[in-house]
Amino acid sequence: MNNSLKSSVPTDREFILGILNNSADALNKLYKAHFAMVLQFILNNNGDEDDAKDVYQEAIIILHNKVKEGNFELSSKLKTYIYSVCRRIWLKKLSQNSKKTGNITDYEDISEVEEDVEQHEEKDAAFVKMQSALEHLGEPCKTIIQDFYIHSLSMQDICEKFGYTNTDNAKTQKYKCLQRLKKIFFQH
Amino acid sequence: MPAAVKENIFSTLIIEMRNDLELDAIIEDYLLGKLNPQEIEAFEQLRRNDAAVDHKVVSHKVFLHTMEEYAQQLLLKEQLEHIHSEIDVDDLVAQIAPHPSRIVQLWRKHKSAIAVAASFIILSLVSIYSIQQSTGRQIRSIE
Repeated sequence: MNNSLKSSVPTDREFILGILNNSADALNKLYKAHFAMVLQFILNNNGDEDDAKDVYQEAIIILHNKVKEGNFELSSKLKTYIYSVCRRIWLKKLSQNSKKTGNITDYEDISEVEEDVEQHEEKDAAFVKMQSALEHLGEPCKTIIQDFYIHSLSMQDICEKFGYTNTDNAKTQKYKCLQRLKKIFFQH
Repeated sequence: MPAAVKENIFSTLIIEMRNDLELDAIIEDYLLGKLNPQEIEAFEQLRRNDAAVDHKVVSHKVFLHTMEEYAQQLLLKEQLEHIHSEIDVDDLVAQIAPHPSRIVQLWRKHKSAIAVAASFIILSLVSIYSIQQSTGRQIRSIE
């Protein structure tokens, strides 16, 4: 990559196209372009840099998914959108932790992102459920399932990795693990 | 799994009692599009005739969908963690810490200019002082 490319900041349009094309570079630049803004907002409102990181990453994930689903309309600037989402998330966290919400009390620009944040929270709840179901599985089930469904390893790879004598045995084990996982997942 | 074996499983499935594990395997193959047209037809027949199997398919679909989204989110988070690790957060915090007043900000912004100005002032004071001293001595010596 040459210098002039590196230093140029892509436009919102380019960012969105980059996300749609799974461009790691676009995501990288987008992330770095707006973190300072959110960090400043969080630091000014009773948070620390870890809070800023959590809130910011959640907002980036929300934006990323919205773009991927084709639901993001470029009516507002990306920067404004990210800021509003972060505000909403942080406001919620603050009011959960204590009654006082500091001095960010104006809700006007927040309502439009409310729906996005809530949708994300619902999904996140399902992910937490999945996470805890996986934890309950124990080893080697947990890793077998993760390797197959998250890291897209083939049954052949998994068979070799765990030292099963043949792929069919590994497959049988995978389905046993899967049955247990589903039982736990659907119970809670 | 060879087709003959699969077909064999199908017939046992339909006629006799079901082996849950094999049913799960077939459901997943079905949902992931790994069955051939013949198998698909046989399996859909089974779905139509057996509400329990039908429901298993639906619930597995929900499960797979959640798993897929979960996997995507995990991978995205990993990516974001990596990007975040490249940012010098301490440096950013120092730059944008909320405390500095206007004067402190002015000082930070123009540190070098202020330093240069200050050294000029000191230099000129020293030279004025030394000139005064020497002229004073000269006057005294004349007297």
